[in-house]
Amino acid sequence: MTIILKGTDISRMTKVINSDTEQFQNVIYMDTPLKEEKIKRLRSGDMVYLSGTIYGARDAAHKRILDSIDAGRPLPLKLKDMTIFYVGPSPTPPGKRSGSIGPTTAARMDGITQPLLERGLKAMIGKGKRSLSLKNMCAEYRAVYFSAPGGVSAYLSSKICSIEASAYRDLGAEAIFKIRVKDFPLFVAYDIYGGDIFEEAAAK
Amino acid sequence: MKNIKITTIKTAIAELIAQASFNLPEDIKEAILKFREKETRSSAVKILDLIIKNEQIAGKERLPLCQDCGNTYIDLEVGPDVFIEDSANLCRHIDRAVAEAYKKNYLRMSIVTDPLYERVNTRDNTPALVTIRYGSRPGLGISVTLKGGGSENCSYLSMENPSAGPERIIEMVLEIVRKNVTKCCPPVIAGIGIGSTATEVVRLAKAAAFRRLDIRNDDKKYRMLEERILEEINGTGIGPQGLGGYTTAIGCNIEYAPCHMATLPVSVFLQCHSLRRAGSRILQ
Repeated sequence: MTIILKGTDISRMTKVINSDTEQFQNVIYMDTPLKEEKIKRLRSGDMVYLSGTIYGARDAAHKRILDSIDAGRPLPLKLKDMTIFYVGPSPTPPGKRSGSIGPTTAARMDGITQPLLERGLKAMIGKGKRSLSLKNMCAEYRAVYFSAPGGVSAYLSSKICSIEASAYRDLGAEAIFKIRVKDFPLFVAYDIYGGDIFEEAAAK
Repeated sequence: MKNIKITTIKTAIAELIAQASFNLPEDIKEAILKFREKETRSSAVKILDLIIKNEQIAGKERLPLCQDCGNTYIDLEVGPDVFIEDSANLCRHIDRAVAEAYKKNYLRMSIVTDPLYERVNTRDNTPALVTIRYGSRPGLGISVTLKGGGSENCSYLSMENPSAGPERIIEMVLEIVRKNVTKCCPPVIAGIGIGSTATEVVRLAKAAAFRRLDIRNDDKKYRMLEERILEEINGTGIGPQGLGGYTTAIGCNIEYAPCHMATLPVSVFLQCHSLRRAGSRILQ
């Protein structure tokens, strides 16, 4: 059970107390783009409801982005202050705003993320633990890794305002997607201070 | 003999794919609710509630439970009284049924052709993984299971030393869980295959992962091992989605078979909570 202590906190932030761990948890409503001043406020364990535009890209799209970087070709999306969601959505049925949508395993992108961070990527959304080197990169490049609840994709589709394949359409579900979200529920998994939700959760 | 028409089989497969994609099996729902009662941590309760809420939305809106609509496994059990029409082309007909069902229900196409070089999407989720075996029950049994890639990546095979005992199995499962369970959407079902051969033990593990949670092992020793492993997994504190809590797994099933005296094959599948399975039997 959580008890809301303050509901009128500055910048739409609410402090809640977790009754079993008796520790405070921040519940923060945030809009993209996630510039550094917003990233600095986030701590692992915080719950974030994210709104605004994010981009979906997973394995095959990452491979193409990296190929483009290597070849010096222009990229299909701006990476500065960008949030990338590791996702391959199900198709949008007629009359709906989105198909089912949810995070894929983030660790698969660990070895191919640094060039994106170097170009200003500020937030990644996925599921599961990642490598130590990726965690360290979050501190180095002042970026966060969010964990989204996995396998509840019909529910998460209700947080999507619009979704469209914006590049690499030939990749089907692995294309790059422009996604507008409203109050999309996330947990800060790795923050820029070395915090790690998975280590902290298991240790309690 | 009963002559079962291809169209009957295709219709049944299409219905089962839709049912599995949009509805959680009853035993999984019951297990989630049962573990929710035991759960003390609020974030864990929240995640378990989301799984139930997701199931309700998926069923009502006909949206897939998970965006990863999986590899399509079709298992047929042919009864002694069954004759299948055009059986020489059965797999082709099944692929056609799978392709149509995925398109019609707006399910995600996740299969790529060449695994290493081109990796081009087949755009119809085929080929399906078909197994056909003979059974003693009358009619044609069809079961459909859809398995996502995230949990498929949490599959393990180990050829253990024959002298290894149950403690080694427990240690192995816990090692895998600690290292990788957060990548495959906990709470999971641990499916464990023990015995047979390197190729077959993986099938045993998959069968174990997909076995109904209310069907317990016939053998008391294995049943107790299942219970022990489940308790140990839930003692790790990893919890739903790795955010801490009791419910890291909602079940542990073991399937075992005789093996060569020089071997002890062990396979572990960590199956995500979004377990998509449905089955039916054609009798007419």
